[in-house]
Amino acid sequence: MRRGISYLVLLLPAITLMATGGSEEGTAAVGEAAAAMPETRFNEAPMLAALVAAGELPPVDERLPIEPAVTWFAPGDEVGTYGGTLTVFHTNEYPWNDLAEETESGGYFGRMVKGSLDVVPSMAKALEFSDDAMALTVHLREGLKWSDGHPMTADDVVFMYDGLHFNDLVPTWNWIPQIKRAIKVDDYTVRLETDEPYVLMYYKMSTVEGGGWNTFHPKHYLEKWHIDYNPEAEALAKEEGFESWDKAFYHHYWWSPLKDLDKPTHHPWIMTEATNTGKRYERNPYYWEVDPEGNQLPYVDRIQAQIVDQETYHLKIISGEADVALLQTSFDNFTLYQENAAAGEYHVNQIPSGLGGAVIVAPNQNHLDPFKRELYRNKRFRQALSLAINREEINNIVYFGVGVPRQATIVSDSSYFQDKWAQSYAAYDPEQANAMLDELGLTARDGDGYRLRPDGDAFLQVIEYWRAGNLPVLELVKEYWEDVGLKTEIKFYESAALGTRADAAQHDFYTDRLASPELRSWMVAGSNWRGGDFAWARQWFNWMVAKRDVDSGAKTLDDYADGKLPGEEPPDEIKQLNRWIDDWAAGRPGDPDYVEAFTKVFDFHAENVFLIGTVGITPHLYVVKDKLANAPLEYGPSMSWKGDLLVYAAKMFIK
Amino acid sequence: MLSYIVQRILYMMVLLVLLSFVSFVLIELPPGDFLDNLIQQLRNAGVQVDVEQIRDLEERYGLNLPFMQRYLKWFGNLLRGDMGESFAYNQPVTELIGQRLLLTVTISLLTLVLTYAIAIPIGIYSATHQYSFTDYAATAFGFIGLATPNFLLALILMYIVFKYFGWSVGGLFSPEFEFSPWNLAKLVDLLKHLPIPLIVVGTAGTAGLIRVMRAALLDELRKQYVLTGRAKGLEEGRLLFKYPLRIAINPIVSSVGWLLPAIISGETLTALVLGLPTVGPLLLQAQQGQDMYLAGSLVMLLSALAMMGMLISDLMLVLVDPRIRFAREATA
Repeated sequence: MRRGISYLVLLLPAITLMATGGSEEGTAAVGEAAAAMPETRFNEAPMLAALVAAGELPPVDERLPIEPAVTWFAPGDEVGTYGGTLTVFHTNEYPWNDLAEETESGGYFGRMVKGSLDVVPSMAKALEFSDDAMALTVHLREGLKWSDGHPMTADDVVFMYDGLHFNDLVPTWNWIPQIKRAIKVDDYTVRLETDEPYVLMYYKMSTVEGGGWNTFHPKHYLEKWHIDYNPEAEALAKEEGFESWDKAFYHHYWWSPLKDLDKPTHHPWIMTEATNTGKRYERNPYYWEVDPEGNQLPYVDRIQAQIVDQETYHLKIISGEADVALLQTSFDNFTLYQENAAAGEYHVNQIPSGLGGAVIVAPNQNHLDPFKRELYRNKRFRQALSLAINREEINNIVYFGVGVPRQATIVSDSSYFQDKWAQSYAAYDPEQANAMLDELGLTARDGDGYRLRPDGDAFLQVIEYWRAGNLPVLELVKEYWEDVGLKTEIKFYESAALGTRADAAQHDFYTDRLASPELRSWMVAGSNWRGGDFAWARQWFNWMVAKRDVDSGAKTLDDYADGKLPGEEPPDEIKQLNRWIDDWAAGRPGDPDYVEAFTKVFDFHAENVFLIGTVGITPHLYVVKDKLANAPLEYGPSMSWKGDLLVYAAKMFIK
Repeated sequence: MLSYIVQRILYMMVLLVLLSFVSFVLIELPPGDFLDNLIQQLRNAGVQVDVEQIRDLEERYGLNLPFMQRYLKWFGNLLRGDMGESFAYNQPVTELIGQRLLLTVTISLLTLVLTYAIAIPIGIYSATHQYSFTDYAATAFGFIGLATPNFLLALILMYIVFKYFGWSVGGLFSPEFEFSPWNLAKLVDLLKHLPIPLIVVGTAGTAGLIRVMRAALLDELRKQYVLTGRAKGLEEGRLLFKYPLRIAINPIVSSVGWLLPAIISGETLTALVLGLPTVGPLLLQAQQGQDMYLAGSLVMLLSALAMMGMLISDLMLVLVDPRIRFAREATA
């Protein structure tokens, strides 16, 4: 039944039409089920064919859109066979879990093509983006349906904005607040409009950054709890035991975690059961995607998930109980996974991550201590800190040599990447570092050889961290810095406590991993480079954000404490940096001004080393049983974060 | 007697009101609130957070109200039996606890029975055969059991069971039985999962109890009345069970009170490691995330149970130990 067909060519959007053919090969692939229904254009799972035969479900052609979306096949992916149950493990009841959960697995209007950064249609039949970047017209697929069989139309999209995002009483995660209007053109056409040009709308709508989890909710199911659509909603809420309509609505609509399991979905699997120990999912008979041969996805019938402790999660991997494990895998356990791979009948895919730095260390530019503040603002000091680090050794000791020693910057497969950014002050040169520190006047040393402050006091620096996995790298960094005479300590804080310290600029060094794939950096992660994230200059960042809001009229000075801008006014070069990052949003991938805007920012950061990198592009471990096919070997094109690996779960199958 | 009980209950009420205030203050004490935690968590997960939008939730949750107002609102509802709603779970606290209660109580009670069934006989044997080989063996086991952290024992046992028995570990059921209706296979599956929690949770308790039982009984065995009884020719077994044992059991009876909250909350750390959906981990998560109403209500529930347990053990002592009974009657 296996067909090793490489469907690279299917990346072309035009293929949507081609695939509706439902070739003879496809019919053969599904065997008996298809034989019973020879006249259908598409093929379906035997369990659904049985329901159709029993008259409990309409035929597959009626359940799929007239032109269904064709899934993306990576090189080496094969057309699969139907059936089976997969077992996965969760560490809590929230959605960001392995394989089936209500978020990323659902697909978006469009999808980005790896490499070219083009957008092709997915759940939508076509997307039209106006040249002035102020209107995105979405053409939905005719015949697209919710999991209860009700059509999914323009009304649902409009409902998402008018009923949810634009209603103050309904908490939502609106990642594209720039969209001010959703206008129904006809049943299958919606126009989303902004007040100002916003290029990112098009791209965000086609990725997890705006397209997925928070966009699509079934109006026909939810409207009876919404006061704008049902005047009796208050009474209904009281009847169901809620205080007010918005509380009842929230209960039925909210998805993190999902409470109302009857709410129809557009995801490959429907959550059928959920307790505090586990969840179960079953295929969505109305799922809108097919494989290149016209077989309706997903291939796998059911998914069962159990909630376990983090340590037990690793045990479940090595015992071979987990069919797929990706979100909670940790690199610390790399050898453990590998040792048990043969016995557990699984393999460990090493997926190159989007981490520009697996652990980066950032000196606090707004430090409260004047001496440290002045020192940290001196780029010679930051460069010396960076030169003192032996990145090659960190890579070998902590990452078994599979990472890339590099400075903190954008990941290397970005379209405008320059290797000099990754090399900048990243060589191991303790002599040079020592000389630079001496030049800065840190020449006096104590009895143990540690440098003193110019006034003779002890000079101690503390690296503060919250992510336990960072410790092995930090211990090495401490050693390197002490080798050049800088007394260093490492201190753990609970994450919220560290967040509070960082807000108050009380820390010396903040540390975390730096996720910097191209699209993510472009769409949402600008604050990495502005000073907000990693708290390398959060006071400057806060000032700039407030200034922007006041200048644009969104806020007035009275909105802030004491009637003045919060934080601290940054120096001119930081304001300049900030303007460059603002310019990111104007270009489109591939345009010269897009490349130029990024180049300026990363040139500046390479020279200034505000974020001191160690090792990056460390692989993300994707554990998958040998019996499973079509598991991803690399991130999808949007490569936002780990959740991106879930997007194509529907095409996985049991061999 | 009755007036004594009423008096105790009145004290308990006052104490509970004070406790509710103190526990609320303690939960509020760490900097930040539930939303700060939520924002930080999302940031850590790599999710970009629109802080403004999450701040809108502040009003929804009433987090912007002054401290006293929040406290009074919560306590007022508590008096009416409404424990409030958990922020994190978006679910009534009573429901959250209810889901976990049966399992927690089952495991706790099973462990308790196991603990008593093992510890009391061994304790007695150790005391009556002091410095024998068995006594030393029991002592060694006791010290090891007391000194080993439960979560470590749990991890080691889980690894051994997985490595040498090939059983599915963690939780109470294998994934395929999680939602299946009860049948023999599911029961067998449960029985395979039960030993680790029982052993782990029971070990420390058993070890401690052996020591207590042994020490208390040894004290009694040396007393004059035992010698007298023996001199008068009382049969050894009858002598032991009728007199010194009844007194030696006092420390155990008086600690029954502490067990009541323990039965409800379960062993937190062990449950966490073993992935048992009991109340303990719920309380821990609530406190970590500053899920105020959930944490506050759980603390209140456990405190109330502790006080009730104290009352019960005091009453039981009166029943078990004639000396206390007579002393009370003499003063009354």
